[in-house]
Amino acid sequence: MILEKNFLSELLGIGLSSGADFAEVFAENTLQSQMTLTGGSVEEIADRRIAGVGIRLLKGTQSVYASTSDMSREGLIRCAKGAAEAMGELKDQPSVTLTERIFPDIHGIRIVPSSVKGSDQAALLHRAYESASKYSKEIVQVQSKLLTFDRNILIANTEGLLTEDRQIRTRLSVNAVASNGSENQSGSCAPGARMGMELYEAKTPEYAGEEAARQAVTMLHAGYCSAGNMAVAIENGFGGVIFHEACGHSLEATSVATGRSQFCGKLGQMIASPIVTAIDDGTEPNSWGSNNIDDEGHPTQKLVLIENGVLKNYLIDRLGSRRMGMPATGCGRRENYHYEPTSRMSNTYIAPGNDDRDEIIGTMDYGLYAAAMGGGSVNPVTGEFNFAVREAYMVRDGKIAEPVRGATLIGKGSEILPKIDRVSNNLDSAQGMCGSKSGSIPTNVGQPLIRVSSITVGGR
Amino acid sequence: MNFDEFKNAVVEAAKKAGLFEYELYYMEESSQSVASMAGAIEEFSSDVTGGASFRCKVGGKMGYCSTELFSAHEAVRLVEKAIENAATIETEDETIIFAGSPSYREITPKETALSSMAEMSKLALSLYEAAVKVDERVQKSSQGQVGQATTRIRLVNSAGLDLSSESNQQIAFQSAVVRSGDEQFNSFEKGDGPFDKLDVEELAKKSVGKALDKINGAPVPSGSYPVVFDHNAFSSMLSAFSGIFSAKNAQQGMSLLAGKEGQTIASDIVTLVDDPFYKDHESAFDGEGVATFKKNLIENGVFLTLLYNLQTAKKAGCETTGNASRASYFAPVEIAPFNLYLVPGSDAPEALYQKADSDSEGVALLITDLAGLHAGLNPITGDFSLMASGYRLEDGKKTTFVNGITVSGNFFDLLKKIEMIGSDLDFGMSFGHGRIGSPSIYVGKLSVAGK
Repeated sequence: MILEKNFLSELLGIGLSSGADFAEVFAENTLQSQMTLTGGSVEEIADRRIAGVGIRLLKGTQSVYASTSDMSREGLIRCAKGAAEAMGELKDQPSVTLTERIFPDIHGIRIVPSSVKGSDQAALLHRAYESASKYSKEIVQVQSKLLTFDRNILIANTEGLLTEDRQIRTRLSVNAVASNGSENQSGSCAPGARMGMELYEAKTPEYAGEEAARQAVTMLHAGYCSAGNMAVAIENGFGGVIFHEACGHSLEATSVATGRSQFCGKLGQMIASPIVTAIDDGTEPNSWGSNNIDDEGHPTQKLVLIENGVLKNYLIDRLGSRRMGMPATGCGRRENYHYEPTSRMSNTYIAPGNDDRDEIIGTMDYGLYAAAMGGGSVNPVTGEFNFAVREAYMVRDGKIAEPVRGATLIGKGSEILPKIDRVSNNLDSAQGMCGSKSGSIPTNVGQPLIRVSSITVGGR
Repeated sequence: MNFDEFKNAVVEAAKKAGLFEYELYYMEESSQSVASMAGAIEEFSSDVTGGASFRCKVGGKMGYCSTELFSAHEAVRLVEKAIENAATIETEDETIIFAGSPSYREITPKETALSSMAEMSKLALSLYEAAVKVDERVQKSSQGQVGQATTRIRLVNSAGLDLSSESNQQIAFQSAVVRSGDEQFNSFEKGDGPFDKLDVEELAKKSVGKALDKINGAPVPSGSYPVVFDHNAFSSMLSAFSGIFSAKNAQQGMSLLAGKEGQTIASDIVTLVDDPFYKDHESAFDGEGVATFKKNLIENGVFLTLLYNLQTAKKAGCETTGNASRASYFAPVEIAPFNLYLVPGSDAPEALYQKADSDSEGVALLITDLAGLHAGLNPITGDFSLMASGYRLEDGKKTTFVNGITVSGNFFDLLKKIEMIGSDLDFGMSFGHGRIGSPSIYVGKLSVAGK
């Protein structure tokens, strides 16, 4: 245990002495490593230990959060007292009984990253580099990074819960630059999972390197996308970022509970085209965004957000649950102990539909085929979103034509969701880092190929 | 154990391991914030973090390891892991543990006194109340938020260097939500500290005004229009592209500015400065302990220098510009500006509006916000295509709100197209120790996608 059970009870007692009706201790000891290979040589290794405690007190819908890296007894008592004093006047310290609980672990790990030698980790990066470099003479620079996380958390709260979890993840990201001497274009590929180093047996570094290089070279030979409103077919995998941004963030209690969402009060209403069903599933074995429990100690869930176009559920954390008067859904997450947890997505995707991918593109007169998406952002209050298209092609008379660069898709979630007129059956997911109030966390986005009948495309 | 005890344990472990060149970089940050919602204090938070990064030279290679756990056992692990990491490094670039600059500029401590939680709560509440008073359409979901932080840095190395610094920061945010019919609109304004100099009413007026402007927002038709970027929009773009000035990126083929020193890369009215001593935001030494100084990156359109740290300067055969940066205690030494800004001109922003309007064939735009800067632009190529919002410019004045558009172009082209620079220099949010600022600029025509 990161902290002793009796001491945890004492800290929780100090928390409750303020008149708070709930107290929680979150302790963390995480090893994080990032190895970077640039231009064929390992250039940098950043190893970091994150170790500390966050103490949270709730009283109705009011919250106090205090965190510290000082894990000495005095340091933690100071932290708990500081939180309690911010909540209210200190009175008698009630006693708190904790019962240790072990949740099932559905994410087996065959090769724990820290047990692999540095030189063997470097070898993976070299393989990605070689594969990207040899793809084309136009590839002038390749950077590959290997990330590993070994996160150990402990949660104790005044409902009596005491539990621990260990979360291992790894990701290999490759960024390739293609140049013709006067212009540069880049491409990337970054597979990851809640797995150990066995991930790279299935997702080989060669594949990631080649994919990044192919994208960069394709875009080097592309013209600029022209601006305007048009039909857009968005490919599977990272294409799911459209749902993540345009809709997912606005379904988080972080926005909904405070009246700052385009989807407030819309439960049971039709908010999307009837062919759209969307799911957030934190329970997928070994997926990048999965966990056994969330950072509040709730088991993760598979939650249907939208079913046949109708809004069914919001993503609700503990504080959001109090503010909304609805049960929490096992989605309270945080980057690390410095952050108070809040409602976040895990593995979010649009469920497969009945349409055929080729038929969808074949019936487009004119439009854009977004083969690979970049990142994006959203204002959850209005639903205005934007995202970049990494690899795009014009579609003419039902055929994928020339590649185009510099395309951006913008719009409003509530206006785009009803305009999804086709959903194909080739569901796939991809990995991302999602930034919000409680920091940057791993999330999966996914979808089959979908088509939006009209969307604003930025270009020039 | 405290940092001094931990430092001694690390030094002992380093000596025992036979190391001659090493460094310990310590950062302690203590912060508090309070948020008010619907007229009540809803969230308090406080954080105290101390972390240290150890790096050492083994066979010419630099190995790093960092931690937040200060114990005797961890001190030994830190040193062992850094040595192991050094053995995996393959780059041949020379690394340096710095013995110190001849002198360091004295920094006058800022007068910002920290506030109590009670004072911060009062201010957070007043931010909310001031917003509600501005207009009846302001919603309960509007928020006021205030935060303050103290950062302490200590750099100790085997060459005898022992530097330290301390700085305080206070910042306030006002986020207004207004309703019109079935729709909600919001805005976000920051007020730089110190708190006692903050004009709460003014901040609320500005924030609510901006949210109200959005009620009748609409896109313009797609086309090519004269564009003015206000200080907020252009400083955020400059910030997203600031990596092009890093010598590391240039040496790795990731910046188109490599080898362009002495060439004209911007219009002749453009002078871009990095000043580590800009008021209220001073740093006497960089992330490697080198004394900082002010320099022009671009002077009257001519590109003068990249930003260097010791390693990239050695490789290029020049002197460091004192721009080694450590965004946090755990971040390896990178390169970043301190206070990077476009030198203001003498025209009021209205003169730029006037010029844009006179160049237009019906539509001229003032862009005040850019979104998706992490995704919609490419620092390697300079291309950008960004969701934007702002105002139409008519008769030299900003009129109706414009949203749902994108502006596209190339940053390197844009630098050459700057026709006028306003007098209204302002800085954006700080990141690590750095801030980026700009006045309003007029760039002529840009491609816009709208309805």
